Amino acid sequence: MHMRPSRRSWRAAPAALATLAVLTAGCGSTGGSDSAAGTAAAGGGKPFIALSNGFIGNGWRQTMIAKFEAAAEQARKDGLIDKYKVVNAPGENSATEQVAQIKSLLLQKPDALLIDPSSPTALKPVIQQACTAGVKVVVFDSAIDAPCAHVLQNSFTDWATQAAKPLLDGIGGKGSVIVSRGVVGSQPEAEMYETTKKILAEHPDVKTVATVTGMCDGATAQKAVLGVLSSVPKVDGVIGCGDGHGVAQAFATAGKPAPAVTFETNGRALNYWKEKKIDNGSVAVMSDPGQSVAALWEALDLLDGRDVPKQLTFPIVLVEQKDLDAWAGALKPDEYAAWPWTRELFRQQVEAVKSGGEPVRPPIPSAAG
Amino acid sequence: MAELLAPTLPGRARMRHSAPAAVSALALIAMIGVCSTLQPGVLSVQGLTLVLSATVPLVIAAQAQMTLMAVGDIDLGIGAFVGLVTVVTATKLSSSPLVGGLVLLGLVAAYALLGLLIHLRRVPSLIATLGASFVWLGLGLFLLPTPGGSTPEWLAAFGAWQPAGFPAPLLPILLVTALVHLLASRGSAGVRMRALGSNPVALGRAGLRPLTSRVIAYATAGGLGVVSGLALASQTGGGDVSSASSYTLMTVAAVILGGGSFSGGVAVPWGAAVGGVTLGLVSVVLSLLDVRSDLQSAVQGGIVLAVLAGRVLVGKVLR
Repeated sequence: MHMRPSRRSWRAAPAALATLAVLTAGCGSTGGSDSAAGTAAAGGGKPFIALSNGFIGNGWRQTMIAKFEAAAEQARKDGLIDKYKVVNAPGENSATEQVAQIKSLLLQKPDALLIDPSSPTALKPVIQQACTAGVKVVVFDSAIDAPCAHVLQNSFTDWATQAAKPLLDGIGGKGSVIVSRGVVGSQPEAEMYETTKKILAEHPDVKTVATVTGMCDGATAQKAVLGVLSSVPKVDGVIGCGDGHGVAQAFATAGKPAPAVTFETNGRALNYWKEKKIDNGSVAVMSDPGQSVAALWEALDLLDGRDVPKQLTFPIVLVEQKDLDAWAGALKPDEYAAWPWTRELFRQQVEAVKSGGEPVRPPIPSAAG
Repeated sequence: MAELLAPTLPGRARMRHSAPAAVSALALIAMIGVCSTLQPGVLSVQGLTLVLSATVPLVIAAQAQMTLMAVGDIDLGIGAFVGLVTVVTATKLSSSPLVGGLVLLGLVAAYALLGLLIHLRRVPSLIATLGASFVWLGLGLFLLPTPGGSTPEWLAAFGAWQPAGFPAPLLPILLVTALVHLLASRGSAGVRMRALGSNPVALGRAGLRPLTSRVIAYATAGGLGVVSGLALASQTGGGDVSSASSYTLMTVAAVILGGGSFSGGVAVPWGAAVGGVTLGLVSVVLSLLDVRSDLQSAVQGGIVLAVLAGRVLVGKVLR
């Protein structure tokens, strides 16, 4: 696209300069920011860790990224890694954006690539490309069908089990419940709903009076539950996937006593639970945003040549009544409960996965951070 | 590039026509410059392949959008349509190529039909294509409820093709853009399409049927949408009806960046290509810059706005 050096390009110059100025201003402000990746030159063989995240638009993902950045910064100060970099695909969980970003990350030749994928299939070719280029790939949070990648995830069966079992025990194993389903049509939700149905079948005295679609989102669940509340007589519990805050508010709006629900694991929901002194078998359960930190340790162990299984299942975060005060005090309103994985704890959990033993229970963090 | 556009226009009009694309091209060059200073590897063949490959389906979809915008319409269904094509590719085309090929042809025909309906019933294209987008989405979910499937061997091989001498993604970008350029600027169909966009009454007075022009434009857009979906599937290795949902508005932005207009009458294939690559490169620049993770989306929007502002400014200066 050559252009004649004519009046035209001269006229275009001011606008182009303005554009450039904005571009460079963008660089300047970010270059001066403190939280960008470490820029230490010449790593002396220490690894460069990159993280690609498919979606940044909810509190869980933001906690996940914050935990990773804190852990990676510490690891850099401790001399474990040379530098790290986090890239979030903009937009609504767009696989095409994430593919583009992973490709440009590959140009920077990271030693290990951690991926929270936006799609269970679309990243397969680019992950294969990364493996071929000699990058260690760890996919976390959700499974992906790429044979060369290591996968670290929470068990969705455990999630559904922990959401239903303590709640059903809490209401004494009998009564009426509403089931609030997650993102219907996604693979994890199918697995979770199967588990919920199986557990409900084991409790013949519990009647399912309604099934709604809450999308694992408090606001959506609130509307969905409110819609059916008038048509059901008495509800003892609502089995959901981290949407309890909205569900409890739906019952409050309808002037009914709050049933047992499954709360979100963020500070806001836990404090609501604590302040309203709800004690009816409610639990809070969600997957662990600290998986990103565990994935960092996995990548480092892989780079050290240690033997790590291709599939790792890590424990979900379950907050029961007895742990409520500890968690509620430790979390900011929009921060989700995360296990504080250290390299030691990570290795213990890997051993537990290998031997099929009990999962490690990391300590509850004491203060927000 | 500018010289290719409209050789018969007088100087100042030609300048007005091509200046927006020139601004986008400058922004593009600036971005590649920024990228290559941050990461010298970008300028190698392999680097350009990595950086450009993700923009291929977007550029082709932008050509489809450009074709419709040239006749004064806007396509709000192109994202879902491209997604549907990836689904058909990952299911029918890989299980039985003949059926898959026929389905894809049927989709092009459906686009032509959509153009026919829009013209005959005088439905605003915004409404009709938005409605169609739900049909594409529904068909895609029906064929493949959760993302998956696998692409045919030849397509996957094309996606992984890395010739030694030049960056592979340039080939489809240049080829498709050149084809659209030939159609829009040289052929009589192109003249009719642009006439339909700028002055449909004159087109009618000239004894030419505006209906034919519109149907040709929609069929072309459908065909380009299919090619875009194939290109996307070659990179994602499967089908996902929502994988290209962001394309709908990205392609409109690409056409505007390239000098197109909402009111029609302008065909800017090379501009749309430049606009598409520019938009695609923004996320590459972002990931090369060490932008704080919570600011990345905002900075991306800022860059796009800056380029658009540059385009408007130049338009004002030349008026």
